[in-house]
Amino acid sequence: MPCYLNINQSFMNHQSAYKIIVPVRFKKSDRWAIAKSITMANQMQAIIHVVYVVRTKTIFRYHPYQYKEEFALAKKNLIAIKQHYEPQLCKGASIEISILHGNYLHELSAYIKLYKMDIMLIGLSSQYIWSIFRPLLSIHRICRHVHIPLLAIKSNGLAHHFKKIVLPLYMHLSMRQLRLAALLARSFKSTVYLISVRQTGINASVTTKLCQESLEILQSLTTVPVQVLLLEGKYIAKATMHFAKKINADLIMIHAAKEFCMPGWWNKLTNKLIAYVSSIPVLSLSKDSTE
Amino acid sequence: MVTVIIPALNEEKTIAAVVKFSYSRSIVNEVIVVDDNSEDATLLRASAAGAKIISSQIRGKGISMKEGVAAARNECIVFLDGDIDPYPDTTIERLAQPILRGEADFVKGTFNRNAGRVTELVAKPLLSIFFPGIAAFKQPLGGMICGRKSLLTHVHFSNDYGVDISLLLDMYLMKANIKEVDIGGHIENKSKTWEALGPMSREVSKAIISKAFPLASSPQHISALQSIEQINRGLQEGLRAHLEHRRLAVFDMDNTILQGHFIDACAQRFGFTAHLQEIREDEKDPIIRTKRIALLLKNLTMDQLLNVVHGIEMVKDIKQVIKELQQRNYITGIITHSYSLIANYVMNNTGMDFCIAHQLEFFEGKATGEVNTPSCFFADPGSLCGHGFCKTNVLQYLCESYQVSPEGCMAIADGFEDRCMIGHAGKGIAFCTKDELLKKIAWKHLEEKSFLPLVSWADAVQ
Repeated sequence: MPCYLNINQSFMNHQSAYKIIVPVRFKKSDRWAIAKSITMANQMQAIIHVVYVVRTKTIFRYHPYQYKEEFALAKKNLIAIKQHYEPQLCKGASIEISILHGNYLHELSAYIKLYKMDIMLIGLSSQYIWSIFRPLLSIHRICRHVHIPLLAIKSNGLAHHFKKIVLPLYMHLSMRQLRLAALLARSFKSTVYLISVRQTGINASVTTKLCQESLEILQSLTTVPVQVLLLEGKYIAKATMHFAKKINADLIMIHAAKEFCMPGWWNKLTNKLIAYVSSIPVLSLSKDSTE
Repeated sequence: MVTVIIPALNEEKTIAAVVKFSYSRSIVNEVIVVDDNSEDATLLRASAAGAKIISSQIRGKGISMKEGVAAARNECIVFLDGDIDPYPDTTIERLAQPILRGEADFVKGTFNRNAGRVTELVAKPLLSIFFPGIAAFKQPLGGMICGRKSLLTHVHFSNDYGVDISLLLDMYLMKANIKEVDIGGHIENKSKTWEALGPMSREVSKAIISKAFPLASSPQHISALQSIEQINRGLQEGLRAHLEHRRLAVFDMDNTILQGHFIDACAQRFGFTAHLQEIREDEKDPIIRTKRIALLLKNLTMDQLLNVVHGIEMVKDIKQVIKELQQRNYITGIITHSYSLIANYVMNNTGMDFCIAHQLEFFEGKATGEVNTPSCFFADPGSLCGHGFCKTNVLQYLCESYQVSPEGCMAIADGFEDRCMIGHAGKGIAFCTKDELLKKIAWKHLEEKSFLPLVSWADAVQ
């Protein structure tokens, strides 16, 4: 039976606050995600939900005490996390801890839906190879299930602001992505760089129109500075990476789609999104739910 | 014979009456008031009424009850609350008779009262899981009880809100013969404040769970916690659905509710179309533009302006749609760059709840040409969009005023200047617009001059 044990519930007091979910596995990489979530929560006066999922294992049927132990250990670790990070929060921000039980993705998505989470943060191991063997951590897969923006952080992506946001555009206009860029840029007083790759033939006019429309929409939605650039190159993923590094960007916003996988058949096959190779934090949105 | 014990704390207004009432019953020969260090005249009044007084050293109902039991001379003990006056005449008899007749060892009294929130939401669900045998009790947390002294001396009196339920559970676990009796009549019971409900829920649930799990960790523990969590989740979902029911629907006025533009119609009627066009082309600053356009209305009377708006048709189904939306708990209103005189007229004719518009000044019934803009049109540091002068700022202001999240808003507009509001509302709807980009920003687009589809979309707004 799925279980939602919320150890410290105060949701009813925070109906209008932003909510950040950080699923943890008690690994080193969790620290990067929690540290980033603290920065964001302080900036946006958000509530952080640190969540651990006790996954259903066949062994629990035969050894219920093992489940109990895992449950108790998770509770202890979560309380330690809360005690450690709570003093770093400013007024208006808070941290909640919860233990879920059941299927990892199903429980996470149900929790996100129930408590109306706005963004998910995960810490990524510096070695991409682990994500192939741990399909639960696949950004592509998580995005497909949770339908909220997913920010992947690596150890070296811990800048305490998002001053330069790179938003690559490819083939279609995503209002959700533009709205999110506008919101983040407004909160962090950032500059948004709308980029695309220069193409020839029919696609050239499509790209230009896409850039123009995106610029106009962003300017309609907010007053943040926006720059539009058409880059040389064949692959949007590679061009984005290159550009973001060059301007020392703080955030890249992409769709968790094939177009934003690194070039090469193996990368496409394993859904190697920019997030796995970029030292800059990458915010991914599922393509299905863009509108 | 019966001993009546009354634990009391600052109950000078009622204590004497409760003591006198107790002595008025023939089966009572002893009344003990256990004073919990009252700061008023409770002690004096009780003593004057003839009660035996015990001053409790430690504050708390549980301790007071225990001290009262220790001092009682009779085997049959009735506990009454000191703040209830009057009691139904036969209260003590109804509570004590089952014990005096040997039919019960412990009696819980019930009476007509408004349903206790902690009883219904916390105690009863938990009892139904852990102690189904007593889940049928109407008022398990009730303080009017009667019991045998020989049994009461063997139970633990917790010193918090959990005392009454603990007592009941102890009796149940001791396999005492328990009975619930209706003492008859209606008693006005003081409801707990919202602040007290949290601790009360915690202490009551703690009392029930601690009795259910004398050995704190058992494999059943986790499973029971899951059951409680399921209840809690259901409760939260229910509460949230109830608390978050308020949603907001805001309409633009010109070319949306009205099938035309008020100022254009005015220009046509009073002959300043060219001048208006010139201002629109020349003036880029929206605030100055609003002020310059208002100057064109100088010396026009209220009647003249209202006649103009009266001549502009409204979308036919607007009244019906507003009514439907209001039935679905929507607060409906107008946000417009037109004037409050006109917006009020439209609001009253459509049955909407509010309107936000520029205030056109009048002197002796004639427009002065001056206009005041409500401050909510202007940005503050927390503004969602950052635009200095924008309808989104008004939307944000309304969301805060009505305690609605931006996701709970539906905005319907048509113009290029409404892009921002449409983009920031939970569900932005473009209405018969010629602006292609507005269509792209909007969640839905209405091609026909009808608002009826809004009714079917209303439930999609969170």
